Amino acid sequence: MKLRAKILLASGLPLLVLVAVVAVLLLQRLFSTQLDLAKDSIRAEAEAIAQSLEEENHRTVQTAATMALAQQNGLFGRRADSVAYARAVLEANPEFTGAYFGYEPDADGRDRSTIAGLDGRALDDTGRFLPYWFRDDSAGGALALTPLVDMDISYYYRGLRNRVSGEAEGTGISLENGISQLYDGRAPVAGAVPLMITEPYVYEGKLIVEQTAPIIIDGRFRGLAGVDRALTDIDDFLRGQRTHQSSEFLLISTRGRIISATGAPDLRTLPLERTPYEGWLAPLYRGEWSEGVLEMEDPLSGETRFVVAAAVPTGGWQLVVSVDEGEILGPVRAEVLKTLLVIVAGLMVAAAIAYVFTRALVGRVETAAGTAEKVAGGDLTVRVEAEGSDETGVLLSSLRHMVDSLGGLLGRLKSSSVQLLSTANEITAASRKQEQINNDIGASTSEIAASTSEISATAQELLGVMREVSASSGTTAEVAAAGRTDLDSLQETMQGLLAATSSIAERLEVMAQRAESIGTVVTTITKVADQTNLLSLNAAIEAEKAGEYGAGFAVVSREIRRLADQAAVATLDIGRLVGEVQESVSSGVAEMSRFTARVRDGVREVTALSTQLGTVIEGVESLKPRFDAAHRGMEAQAAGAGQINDAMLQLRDIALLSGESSQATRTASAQLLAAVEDLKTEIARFRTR
Amino acid sequence: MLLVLFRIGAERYGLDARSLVEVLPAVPLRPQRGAPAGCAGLLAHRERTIPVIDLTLMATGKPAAQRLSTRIVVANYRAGPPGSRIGLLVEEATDAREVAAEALVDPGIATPDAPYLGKVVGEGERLVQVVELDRLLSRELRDALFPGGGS
Repeated sequence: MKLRAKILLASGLPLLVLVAVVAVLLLQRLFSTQLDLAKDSIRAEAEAIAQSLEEENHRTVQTAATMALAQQNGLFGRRADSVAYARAVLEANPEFTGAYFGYEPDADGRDRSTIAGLDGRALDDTGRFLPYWFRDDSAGGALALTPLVDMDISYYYRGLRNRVSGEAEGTGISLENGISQLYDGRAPVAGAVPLMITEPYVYEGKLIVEQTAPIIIDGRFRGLAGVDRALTDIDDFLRGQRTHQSSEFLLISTRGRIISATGAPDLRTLPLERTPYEGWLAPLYRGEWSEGVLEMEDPLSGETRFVVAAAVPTGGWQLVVSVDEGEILGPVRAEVLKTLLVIVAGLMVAAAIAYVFTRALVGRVETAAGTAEKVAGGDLTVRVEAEGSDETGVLLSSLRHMVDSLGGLLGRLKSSSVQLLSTANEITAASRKQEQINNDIGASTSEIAASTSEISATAQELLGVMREVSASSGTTAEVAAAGRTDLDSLQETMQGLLAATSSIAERLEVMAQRAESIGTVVTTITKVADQTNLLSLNAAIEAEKAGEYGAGFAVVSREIRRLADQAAVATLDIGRLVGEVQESVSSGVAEMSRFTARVRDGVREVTALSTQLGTVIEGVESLKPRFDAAHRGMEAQAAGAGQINDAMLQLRDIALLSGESSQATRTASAQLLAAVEDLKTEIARFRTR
Repeated sequence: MLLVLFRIGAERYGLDARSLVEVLPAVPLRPQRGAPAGCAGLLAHRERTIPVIDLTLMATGKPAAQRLSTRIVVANYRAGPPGSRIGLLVEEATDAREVAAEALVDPGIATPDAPYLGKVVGEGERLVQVVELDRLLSRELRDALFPGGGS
C-alpha cells in the first residue's frame, strides 16, 4: 500500500466511521420526529372537522329545543302563531330544510273546533295539528306547508315519544336498511330533556337528518318541535375541510349507520357491519379503538393508510379520517434524503483537502527513498540535496550524513574480515574434536541406562508379585474373620438350643412328678376298692351263714361289691394310663438328657473351633503388616531404580545435546567462513570516493 | 347256696360260703421250712396259727401270682381236728355268687388226681366248679398239717 493511501486511511477512516454513526442516529431521529409531526397534523385535521360537525349538530338540536320551550311556555294550542313561528325559524336558518310542530291527537282537546279557522295544510284528516314547513325544490326553494307523515314509524316522532315514556327507542320504528346490530341504546344527545337526532335517511333524493324536542306540559307528552337538516352535501363539506390531499372520511351515526363515506358513497345509510369497513368501524363503535394514529390497510383499495378517529358528541357520531401512507411518508423521506446529501457533500470536501496536504508531504519522502535505494545498490557517490527545516528536511540531511559515514566504515570492514577468516577456521577444528568426545559419552550412558531399566523392570515385577501376595493375605484375613463371625453366630444358636433343651427337660421332670402323684392316688383308690370288695365278700359270707336272716344283707353286700369292682376297674384303667405316661415321660427325660449332652458337646466343639480360627486370623492379620512393609520396601527400591534410570537417560540426552551443539558450532563456523567470504565479495561491490 | 368264686389258671372255681370264716388280703405268711409241697406258710389269725395252702401251686405247680385280688380264704376244716381251720391262697377271690342247689350237676368225669373237684354250675357262659374242702388235702398232707388226728 502506498504511503499516501496509508496516511489518508489512518486519518480519514475513524472520522468517516464516526460521521456515519452520527448520521444514522441523526437520520433515524429526524425520521421519527417528522413522522410524529405528520401524524399530529392528521389528528388535528380530524379533531377540527369533528368540532365543526359538533357545532352544527349542537346548534340544530338546540333550535328544536328552543321551539319546544316556546310551546311549553305559552305557545301551546295557539295554532296560527305556531305555524307562523315555524315558518320564521325556517326563514331565519337557510341551512335548514324544514321546521315543524307535531301535536298528539287532540292534544289540547280542540282539534275539532279549530279546523275551520286554520290553514288546511297544517292538519291531517282528523284535524290533528301537524304543520311542516320545508323548502320546495320543485318551486325554486320557496317555502311550503304540509302535514307531517309517518309519525308512528319514524325516529323523529315515535322514537322521541318512546324515549319520553321510558320505552325502548326503536319500538315500532321502520327504517330502510335498519340500524347496526351493535347499537346498545345509547342516546344521541346527552342531557336532562330527551332530545332526538334521527338516523340520516334519504327523503325525496336528499339525505335528511331530523332534530326534534318533546313538548311536555304537566308531565305529559303533548307533541314535539323539530327542524330538518340536509346532509346531501356533507361529502363536499368534509372534503372542503381537509388539510391533506389524500384524506378520505367515514362518518357513522349513533346507531351505527354510515352517514358519509367519501371514498365509497354507495355505503351511505348502511349499517356498519354490512360494509367492507366493518374491520375499522366495529372496534371504534364498540369503544375498543386506541387513541392515536393507526396504520391500517384499506379494505377497498388495499393501500396502507394512516387512520385516526374523532367523536362528535352531539348526535353521537364518529368521524374516521384516513390519509394515504405515501402522502405522509413522502415528505418525511425527502427531508431525510436532503440531510443525507448535505453530510455526504461535507465528507467529500474534507477528503479533497486531506489529499492535497498528503501529496506535498509524500514528495520529500519519495526523494529520500530514491537516495536510499542508490546507496543500497552500492553507489556511495550519490549527493543528497537537503532543504527545508521540517521533519522531511531533517530526514534528507541525515541521509547525507549516513552516506558519508558508510564510506569510512567499509574501509575498516575490509581489514577486519581477513582476521575473522582465520579465527573461523580454528573454531571449526575445535568443535569437531568436542563432538567426537560427546559421542563417546552418549554411548556409555546409553548402556548404563539400559541396565538400570532392566533393574527397574525386575523391581516392578517383584513389586507386582508382592502386591498380589499382600492382597491375598488381606482376602484370607477377611474370609477367616467372616468364618469366625459365622462360628460365633453358630455358637450363639447352640447356646440357645442348650437353654431350650434344658427347659424342656425341666418340664418333663415336672410331668414325671405329676404322673407319680397321680399313680399314688390311683394306688390309694385301688386299695380302698380292694378293701371294700373284701369287706363285701366277708359280709356276703356272714349273711349266707345267717341263713334267711341275712338275705337282705347279702343283697347290699353284693351291690357294694359291684361298685367296688367298678371303681377297681376304673382305677386300673387310670393306673395303666398313668403308667404309660410315666414310661413316656421317663424315656423323654432320658432322651432329652442325651440330647442336651450332645448339644453341650457341640457347643464345646464350636467354641474350640472358634478359638482355633481366632488364632489363625490373628496369625494372618499379623502377617499382613509384614507383607505391607516388604511391599513398601520393594516400592522404594523400584522407585530408586526408576530414578537412576531417569538420571541416566537425562545424562545421555545431555551428551546427545552436547554433541548436537558441537555439531552446530561446527556448522556455524562453516557458515562463518562462508559469511566472511560473502563479506569480502560485498565490500568489493561498493564504489567509494 | 352262696359260692365264693376264685380262679386257678383260667378256670373259675367256687367254695361254699357256709364253710368259710372270712376272706383276708394276702398278708405275708410266715414260711415253714420243711413243710410239704402246697403249704405256703403259717398265718396268724384271731390268736390262732393256721396253715395256708397255695391252691394254684397245688393244682398247677406254679405259685399264685402276687396281686391285690390274690387273697387268703379262711375256712373251717372239718376233716381235721375239731375247730381246726385252714387258709387257702387263691387268685381273684373277689366275688361271690348265689346259686340254686338244683343247678349243681355232676361233671361226669372222674378225677382221681384231684379228688377235691366237685359239681359244676353254669355261671354266665362259663362253668364254675365247686371245690370240696373235705377232700382237698391228701392224707399225707392232712397229717402233716393237722397232726392232732381226725377222721
